[in-house]
Amino acid sequence: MTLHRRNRNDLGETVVKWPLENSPIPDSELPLYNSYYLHACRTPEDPAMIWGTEVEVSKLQDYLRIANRESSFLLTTSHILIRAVAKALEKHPDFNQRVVGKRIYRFKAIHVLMAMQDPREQQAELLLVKDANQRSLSDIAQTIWKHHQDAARGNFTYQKEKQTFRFFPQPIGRWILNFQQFLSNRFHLPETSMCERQRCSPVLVNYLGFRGAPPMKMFKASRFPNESLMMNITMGPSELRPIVQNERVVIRPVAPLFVRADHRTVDAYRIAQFTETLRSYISNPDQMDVQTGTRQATSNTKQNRSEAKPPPDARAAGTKSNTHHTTSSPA
Amino acid sequence: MEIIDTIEHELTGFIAKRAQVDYPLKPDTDLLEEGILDSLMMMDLVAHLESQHHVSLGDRDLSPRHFRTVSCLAALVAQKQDSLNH
Repeated sequence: MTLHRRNRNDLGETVVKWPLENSPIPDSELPLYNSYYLHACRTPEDPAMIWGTEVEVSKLQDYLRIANRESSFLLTTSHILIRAVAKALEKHPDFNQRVVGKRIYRFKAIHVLMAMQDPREQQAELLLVKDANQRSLSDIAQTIWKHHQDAARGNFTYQKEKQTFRFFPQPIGRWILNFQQFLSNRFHLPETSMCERQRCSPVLVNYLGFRGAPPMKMFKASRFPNESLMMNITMGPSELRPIVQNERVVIRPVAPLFVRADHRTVDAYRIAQFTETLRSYISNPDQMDVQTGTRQATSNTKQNRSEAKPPPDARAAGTKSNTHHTTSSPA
Repeated sequence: MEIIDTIEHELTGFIAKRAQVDYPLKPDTDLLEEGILDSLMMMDLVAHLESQHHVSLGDRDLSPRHFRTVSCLAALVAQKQDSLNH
């Protein structure tokens, strides 16, 4: 069991990290209908809302084409998507939170969970990109490619976790899984290396624009049993489509984008605002300060967490931005 | 040059089969522009290069410079094999 393996400092001492802020958001700060879903919703009822839209991706494709001439790491749409989600979470901190029991807690930092596929075993793998809003695009790409490289050598994290559960007899393994979910959904727990991926991010990002994928018109991402993943963002393959620009019909590459959020924490109005921010970042990656966010993050977690912490009046101010948008050239 | 040609030929066949391209793939086809190289293909390629060509790729090798065309990839493999032999 590698429960505390990654939570050690340079001196080898065990450090207990807590992903969430110490106290939940007071009920008085929660909008009425979020409270309604939070307290009245049971499993058969579904508080999920999905906003589907489209993104024109010609600027994104140009951006990648130029960036890949200079970049040390191959940059892809999924890397841009992760960074765009992180920057959108930074701008809309109301989405960087999760349900624990019947309370809502904000995350201290902005971590993004990405789904990837093991093509040989046909299994999904999850990769947690920590402090994604603080990292440059090439840093995100490096992290992901490193994981892909390990994966290509057969070192998938899910395989290690499966081995851990197979260590126990099947009924006990199943009981452990259930108990783990029970604890995680009801109690404010510290990070452990085994479960941090499922518990330390509010969002799961799917990029389903792989080669051979059919055009996507509708996609409903499933709800992970864990309450931490309040949101799912899925981007599908781009296709050439006629769209109207400046009152003229033009042919442009367009990709579908689906944002699934939870009515216990946000409402449709705020999903619309979040989706529009995300859409603008994806359709114009220059808007994200891709070069300024170098990886100060992991070297000074405490500082970053305080930076990632939403301003006290963020809730009252709805989706007030705490991010400055600068235009920069590709990383 | 013969070694590189052999590697190019083998890699062209591997990529064309995996990506199911419906046109003849050439060693200088831009894999990025054609949308052939995505993360799944990268994983397949890394596994293939390491198992079939016995080279070990470092973090820095996963750059567009090396993966843009089959020719670039073949040159990388040949260079790695050469450094292993010496």
